[in-house]
Amino acid sequence: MTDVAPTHPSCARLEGIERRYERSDGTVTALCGIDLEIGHGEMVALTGPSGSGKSTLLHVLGLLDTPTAGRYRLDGEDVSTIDDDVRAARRNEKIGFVFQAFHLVPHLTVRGNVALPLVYRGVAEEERDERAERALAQVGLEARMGHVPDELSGGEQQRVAIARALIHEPPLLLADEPTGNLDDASSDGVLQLVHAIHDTGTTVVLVTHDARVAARAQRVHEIRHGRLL
Amino acid sequence: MRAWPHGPNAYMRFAMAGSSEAVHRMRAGDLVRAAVDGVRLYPVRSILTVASFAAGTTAAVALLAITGGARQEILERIAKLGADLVAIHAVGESGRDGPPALTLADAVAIESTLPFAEKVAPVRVVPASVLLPDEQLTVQVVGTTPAYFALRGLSFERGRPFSVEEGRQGHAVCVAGDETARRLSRRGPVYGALVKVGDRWCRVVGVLAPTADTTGEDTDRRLYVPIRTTLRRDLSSRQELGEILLRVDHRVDPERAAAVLRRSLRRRHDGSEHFAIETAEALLRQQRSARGLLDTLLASVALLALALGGVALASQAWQSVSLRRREIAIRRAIGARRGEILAQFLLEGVMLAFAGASSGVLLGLLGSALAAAAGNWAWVVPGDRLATTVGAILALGVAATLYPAYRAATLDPVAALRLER
Repeated sequence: MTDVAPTHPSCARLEGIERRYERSDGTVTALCGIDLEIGHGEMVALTGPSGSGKSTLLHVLGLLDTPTAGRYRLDGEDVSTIDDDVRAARRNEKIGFVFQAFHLVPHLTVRGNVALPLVYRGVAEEERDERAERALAQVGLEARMGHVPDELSGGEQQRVAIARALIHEPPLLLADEPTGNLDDASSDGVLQLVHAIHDTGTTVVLVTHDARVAARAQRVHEIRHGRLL
Repeated sequence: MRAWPHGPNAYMRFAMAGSSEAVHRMRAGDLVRAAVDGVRLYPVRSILTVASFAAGTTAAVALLAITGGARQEILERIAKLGADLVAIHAVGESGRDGPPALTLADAVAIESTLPFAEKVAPVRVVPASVLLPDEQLTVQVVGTTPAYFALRGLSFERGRPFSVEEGRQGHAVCVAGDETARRLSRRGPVYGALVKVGDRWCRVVGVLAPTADTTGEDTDRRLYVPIRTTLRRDLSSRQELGEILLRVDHRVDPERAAAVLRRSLRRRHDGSEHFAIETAEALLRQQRSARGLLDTLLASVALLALALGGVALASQAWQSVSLRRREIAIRRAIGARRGEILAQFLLEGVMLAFAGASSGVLLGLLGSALAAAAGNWAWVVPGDRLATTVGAILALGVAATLYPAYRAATLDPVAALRLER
């Protein structure tokens, strides 16, 4: 495990983050007292066993989930208390997601999927298409633009998801087990892309079980029982 | 590996965007496109939903057209009768030996004693034959006074009504209705000719213009003669009338005038009431009560059909949201606001409702027009009521989709993405 202190101003800063769920059988604490600072341009890996809270932490970082307690500053802005519309806008502006299960919209074409974040930014169709085509060319899928996700392999679908995550040039890329559903060859391709993205200055936080994947990050944090070790 | 062309300065871009408070909005065209994609996603279900909505709308619009036609008929009857016109009809059998229900003396008494009676026309209808060279024409001979033509609003193609003097003297003159005149004209020009009505020769002094009568009285197939002519045989005895028409002073409420008339006639007939008084208001009431039950039944069926359309739409929207949880979560994750998800699903529902409502309106109009043509009804679709109905149907579409769309908008993306791995 490599620990590298942040060298850039803080991209994401979590202070005393807690996430509890109320259930019929009692309260479940998914995250407890998380303090984490991620600098701009860093690549951080979050590891830990299943159910440890690493995906919850990624969702908090991605403004998909709201912490029960604590403070989250994203690029200096306190996003712990912003309303849902602003959270959606911040997700659109600042965050790119890559999920284990790709999560592409099945009835949209590859180009439509990649351009989707720009739809919610009010970008004109012509510009969206142009940027989607560029993004797809960068992941080597320009020839599959008119296909729907079901017509692609798992590795190709994940590359489409990466193109979608990057089309709006977000400064923070969050990847949740990006190689979890892929064979080794496809995994290598996807990881190479993630590292290339990081090399351009994009901050990357990835959740992984895979020690080889984690080893290539600048900083690795292990989570157990909702706590950073 | 390909070079990532974001450039080295992603950090700068981030810093610049960091303070932005702007919340970007989805373009209207993209919203419509997303909704159209959603509708096309499950085409069979969408078509079935449109069909159920169309069925309800067809029923509602057809009902509107049918009741609109009936309403128009009533209004036409009232217009024909005139808001200030009162008709007194003899009803029931007074019997050959019993006292007559209405008499010429009643009409004279009304005109002379009731100040609100501005114009009074006694009406006595008797069937009679007019002899033609090759056939015998049966017509209705109406004995009346010149006031009748004014009260009924009848206009003349040629000639004039018989005069008051001719009426008083019981002269052998007559006015031919349009149809009667046409049938008589086979023998030559009718106007000014002598025709033999029963056993009397009468000169035709006027021919009526054709009428589009909806009152149920065929004025075209009639021959009008001075009332004294029809009463010649029983001048000293019964002088029975079928009807008395009168116009009430416009300052007097026709309903109150009718009450006075009723009292006056009952007094004249020793308390018996073998007559009915018809006013515009009474005619309306009668029509309303006669059609009321049918209208209620039809309205219930139309409402039920519409409700079923609404349920079908709500069910379609609900299923659509359930089946598209992952899509909704993805859209939310990449920046869709709740309002945009809500708008997308509402728009899908409104599109289906609009498609159903439009086809239902067309089918309803077409069906009711065909039915009206076949049944010889008046086909009237009141524009304002049609607009209200269509508006209500679209509102039903929104209402039916509102809760499923709200569920879509408030879906927890984390839970949905976790579930849909």
